[in-house]
Amino acid sequence: MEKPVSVKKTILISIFTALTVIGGYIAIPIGPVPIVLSNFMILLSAVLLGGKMGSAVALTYLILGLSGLPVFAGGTSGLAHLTGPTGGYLLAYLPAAFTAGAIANRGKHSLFKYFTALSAGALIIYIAGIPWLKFSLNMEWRKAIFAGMVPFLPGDLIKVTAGALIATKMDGLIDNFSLSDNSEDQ
Amino acid sequence: MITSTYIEGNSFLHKTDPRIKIIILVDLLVLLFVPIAIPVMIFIVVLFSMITAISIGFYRLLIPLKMVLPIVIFILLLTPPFYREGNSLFIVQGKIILTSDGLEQTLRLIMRFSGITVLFFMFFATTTINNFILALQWFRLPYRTALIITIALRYIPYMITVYSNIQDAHKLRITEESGKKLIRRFKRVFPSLVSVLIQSIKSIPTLAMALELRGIGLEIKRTQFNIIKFNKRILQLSIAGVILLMTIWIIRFL
Repeated sequence: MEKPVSVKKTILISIFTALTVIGGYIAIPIGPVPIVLSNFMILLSAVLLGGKMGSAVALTYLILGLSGLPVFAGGTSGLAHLTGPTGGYLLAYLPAAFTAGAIANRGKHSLFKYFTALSAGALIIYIAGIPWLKFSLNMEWRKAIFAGMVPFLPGDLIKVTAGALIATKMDGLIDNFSLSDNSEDQ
Repeated sequence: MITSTYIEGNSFLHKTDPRIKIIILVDLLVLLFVPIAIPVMIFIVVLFSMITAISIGFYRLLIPLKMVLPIVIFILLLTPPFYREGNSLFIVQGKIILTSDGLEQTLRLIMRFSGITVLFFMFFATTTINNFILALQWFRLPYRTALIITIALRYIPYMITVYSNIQDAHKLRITEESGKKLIRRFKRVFPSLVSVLIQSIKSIPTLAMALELRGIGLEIKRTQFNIIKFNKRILQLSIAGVILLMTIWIIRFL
């Protein structure tokens, strides 16, 4: 028999996907590269909901973008962005969310643990994004790092710090809300 | 905030079954990714741009092309210097700027990205999200995934309204912004963001009740009012698409 739909998980994934889309529209102008909050929302959802659900949020976000809806940073969308020079950063959301969620939800929660989890997630995005940028444009490693990592580091540091603080404040808020969901443990 | 790229119309693309459009879209995407001749790529991009322009209007076609323009410029500037093989086509003060290999690779990448953009735009400008999800369900997309996408799409405009309301409320409370420029920028965004997060989480029980009242989460299957029936043309088109792709692929080696 087909498994019933888990209401709690469905709602959480949907809402955090919507928040991720909104994050793509919020840009904080700092230096040459403005901070966009879509990756921040994905990593935050991963530490709050766990690795699997965080990856589901990232996957739904990518599906929405792939479907042509202008949800990627700067109101862009489509397969062209996923297969383009910056596609590695977008596809890395999946492993980054899974890793960040797995680290954050192992053992007792703390500010340091959230900081580590979010940093690991951000690092994975670079690990996948830079080689993708390098090979898709046939660039040198040094140039790829300077174009695809260095300008974003200050913004990411701020996002990771803010994310860790927010996650600590919101810790338990999602666990505390209960639903009469008979299929919650699927 | 745009939550749908559908453009109302009555063209033949609007009337075509979404499943047929998905099959054609996938076939053409594969075609743009296999190493076919540049003139064939240009022909595909121009042909489908014209079809899209006829169906929804020329000016509307410019919207996605504008979106992909930064990537095209990026490719145009960065691709030629990294391909040094082939005949030299453009030399400035003894330095080779462009080779035949560089030109081919640049054109291939530009055609690929423009083509993908035009094809996706053509599909989503003439297909409603509802029909798209129904078609995906027909292709065995799990019901839960379809439900998640639908709820997320429904919630995006609601949350953007909540975000702007909260931001306005924060602005009213803070009479004079103090501190450095950088801190001021963060003060504007993060408190509002936390409020949106809390507001979103608070809305979960209401949404859960609404879903449960509609029978979602039960072990029995839901009644589906809106279905798309099996169509022989879909099977025929799928086979024709695969044959076309294989033919183009084989012709390349003859």
